[in-house]
Amino acid sequence: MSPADGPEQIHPEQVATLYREHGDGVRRLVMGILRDHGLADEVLQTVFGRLIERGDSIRHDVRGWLFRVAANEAIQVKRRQAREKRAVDQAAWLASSRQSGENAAEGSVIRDEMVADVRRAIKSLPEAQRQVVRMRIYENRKFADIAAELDVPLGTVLTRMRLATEKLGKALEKNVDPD
Amino acid sequence: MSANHETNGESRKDLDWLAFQYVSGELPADKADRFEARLLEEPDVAEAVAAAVALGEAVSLAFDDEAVSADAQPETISTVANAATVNRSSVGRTVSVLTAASVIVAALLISFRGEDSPHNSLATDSESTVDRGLNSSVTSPEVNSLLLETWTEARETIAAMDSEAASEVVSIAAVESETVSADDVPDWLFVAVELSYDSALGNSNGSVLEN
Repeated sequence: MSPADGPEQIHPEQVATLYREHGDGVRRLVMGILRDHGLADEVLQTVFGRLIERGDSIRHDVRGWLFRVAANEAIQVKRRQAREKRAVDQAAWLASSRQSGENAAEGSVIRDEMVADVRRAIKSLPEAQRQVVRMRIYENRKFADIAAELDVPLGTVLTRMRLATEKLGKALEKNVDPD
Repeated sequence: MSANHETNGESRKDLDWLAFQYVSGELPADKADRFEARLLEEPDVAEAVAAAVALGEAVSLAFDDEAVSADAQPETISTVANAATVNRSSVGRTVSVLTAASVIVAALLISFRGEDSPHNSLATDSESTVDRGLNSSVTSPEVNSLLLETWTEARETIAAMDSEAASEVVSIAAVESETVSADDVPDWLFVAVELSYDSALGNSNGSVLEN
């Protein structure tokens, strides 16, 4: 392809392959920024639409390119949303991510293995850490609320959570984003 | 959670923790803005955000599965408890039905004896209740047959009642398939019939009529 010709359209099969390889990671990134499944889906479409427009001009580090475009697009959408609606509902995104996780890897062996590994890791946590993980992620409680309920300093809750996420992250590493 | 990272003294763990706080909405606005600015420039930061979301998904699913297991357990316990209740109530029903059956048999015995017994005068019957319970003259073939029939009917009644419950003490099919013999009628029923018989006659230990 010469620059004069403009970018050649990427083949649909290549897009599908790239989506399979990176779609989950991109979606999670966008979800992390927007915390809204509907908006995340829109951004995901936009990102892969851009990929088709750019065609095969993206030869190196496709994942990096996708992540960059996704982050940029998601942050723009977020700021636009913030202008339009000051009070963006950030609550319950973690709880709803359960559904997202089920959809993303439903019926897959990877999902089962990942959840099994994480469950084992959760069980191996000290009770105090496990309790904070449950309250923060599963029950979607704020750290401040958790500290108040457990009657411990906020710093203690944050330390427990940080230690727990480090351990759980290791369990997740071997299952997520192998590329 | 992702590749090696070391920027301005920030370790991989620091970044992962920051990303987790960001996706949890726990970062103050100014820190969140700075983090988003980095998101646009640093691939590792974007990867850390994706990894933090993946962690949230996996942990939620793990707790979901745990919740399902926890929900299932009380149900099992409840089922066992129900079965125990059914069994306890079955015992109660068994006693009730058999008591009723023995009273019926006793009533039939009275009329039976009234017609066929050579001893029309009950005052002459001085045998003790227990002795009579074991006495062959009381458990004559006709009485045996009557008891057998009543016992079988009682068991079928119990089985029919139990078939409505989840846990069967006696199944109807089992009862129907069984050939009930006189040996199947428990001894205590013979004694109970005799006690009922005496009670119906007001002849406890035979002493009343002897007076």
